[in-house]
Amino acid sequence: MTILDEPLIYTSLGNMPVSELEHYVGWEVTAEYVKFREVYKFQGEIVKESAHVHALNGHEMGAFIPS
Amino acid sequence: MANTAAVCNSFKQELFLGAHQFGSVTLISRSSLTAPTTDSFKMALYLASATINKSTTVYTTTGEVSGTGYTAGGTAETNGNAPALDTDTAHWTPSASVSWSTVTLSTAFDAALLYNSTQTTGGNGRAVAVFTFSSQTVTAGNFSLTMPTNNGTTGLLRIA
Repeated sequence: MTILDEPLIYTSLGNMPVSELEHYVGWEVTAEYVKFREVYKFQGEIVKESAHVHALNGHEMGAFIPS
Repeated sequence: MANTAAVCNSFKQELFLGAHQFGSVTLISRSSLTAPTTDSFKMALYLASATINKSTTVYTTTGEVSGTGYTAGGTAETNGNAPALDTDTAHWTPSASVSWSTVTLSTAFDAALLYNSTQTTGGNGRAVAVFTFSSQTVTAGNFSLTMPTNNGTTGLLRIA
C-alpha cells in the first residue's frame, strides 16, 4: 500500500492533490443570514464548491393588536 | 384594573400545536384525536428561476433543484424543539441544521421551502415558509442551512 504524503480531496475530476488546486473562500453577511462559500479550482475550472448558510433571523407573523 | 386587547400568548403557541380548529380541513391522521403525533417537516431547495413565495401552498417539484446527490423532496428536518413561548412571542425552530453532502447542483438556486411532509393535500406536503439567500451552485461539495437561535427574537417561525 502506498501512503501519499499529500492529502487528496474529492472533486468533480476525482480525488486530487490539494496543492494542485487554487482555493478561494468568501463570506456574505446580511441581516438575515451569513453565507460561507468555498471554491477549489483546477486550471481555472471549478472542481469543488461548497456553501453554508447560517440563518440569523426567521419569519415573524404579527398578530394585530388594536391600539 | 384594566382590560387590554391582545391575542393571547397561549393561543399563538397552541397554533403551532394544532390545538385549535376554526374550520374544516382534510387532515392525514395523527393517530389520535386527543394526543396526536407530531408531523414531519422537510426542507427542499429551489432554483433561482423558480417562483416560490407566499402564494405557494404545497411542495412542488416544479423549480426544485436536481443533481447528483440530491433527492427530490429535500431533507427531513430534525424536530427536537417543542413550540415555545418567549414573553409575547411563540416560536419554533428545527433543532438541527439541514445539509446535503457530496452533491452537485449546477444550476443556481436561492431558496428553501419548509413544508409539512405529513400533512399533504393532493399528494403534496403543505407549505410552511420560504427562506431565501443569494444565488448559489454546488460542485462535488456540501451545502448546509444552519438554523437561527430558537427564541422569540430570531426563531425560524414566530408568532408575535
